[in-house]
Amino acid sequence: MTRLVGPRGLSVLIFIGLVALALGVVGWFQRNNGVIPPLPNYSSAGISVHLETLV
Amino acid sequence: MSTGWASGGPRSRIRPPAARAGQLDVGAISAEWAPTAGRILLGAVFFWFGYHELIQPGHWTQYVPVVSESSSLAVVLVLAHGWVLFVTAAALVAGIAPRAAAAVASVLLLEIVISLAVTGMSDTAVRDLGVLGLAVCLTGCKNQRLALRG
Repeated sequence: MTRLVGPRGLSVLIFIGLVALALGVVGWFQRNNGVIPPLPNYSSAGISVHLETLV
Repeated sequence: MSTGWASGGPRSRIRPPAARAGQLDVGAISAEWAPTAGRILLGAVFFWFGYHELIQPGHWTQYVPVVSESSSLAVVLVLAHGWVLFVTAAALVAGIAPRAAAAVASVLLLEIVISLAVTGMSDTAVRDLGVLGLAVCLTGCKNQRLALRG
């Protein structure tokens, strides 16, 4: 019977999981301080807004 | 009664003409590598969203249903979601149990599509419906290239 995840795959997943955990700790401590600006809005409505400004 | 093939077996009959001539068989190459390309690209999408959910959870709490977006519980839920996205992305890109990772991705995307759809179908929900289709398709793909085994 073969295992779903081998030893190398498990090592990679554990490493990535710890990296993600560290990123989560960083995110938790800056959840409210506004260090990072909000994401830009790439909604398709943007083009219609742009066209409205041209008319 | 003989059951053998009279003219070299079935494989010789279905072999495409390009392969016989020793030319580049684009159809066979794309069939072989397209699932890998789709898997890596889906993993890149998951990496992007997972990273941003982990780094700036405050900007994603508005998507958490039921829970107040200003609560700590919403932040914790976004962080947990980002962690799962990040690890699933690694599994997809590295090819660690690729079909199982694609199945997890399908469940995650189904959850995302449902949570977006209950607030009204937006362009984001429709886009994620297409990404869900890719994840479902990858769940059924066997013998993928660049998969980490052993």
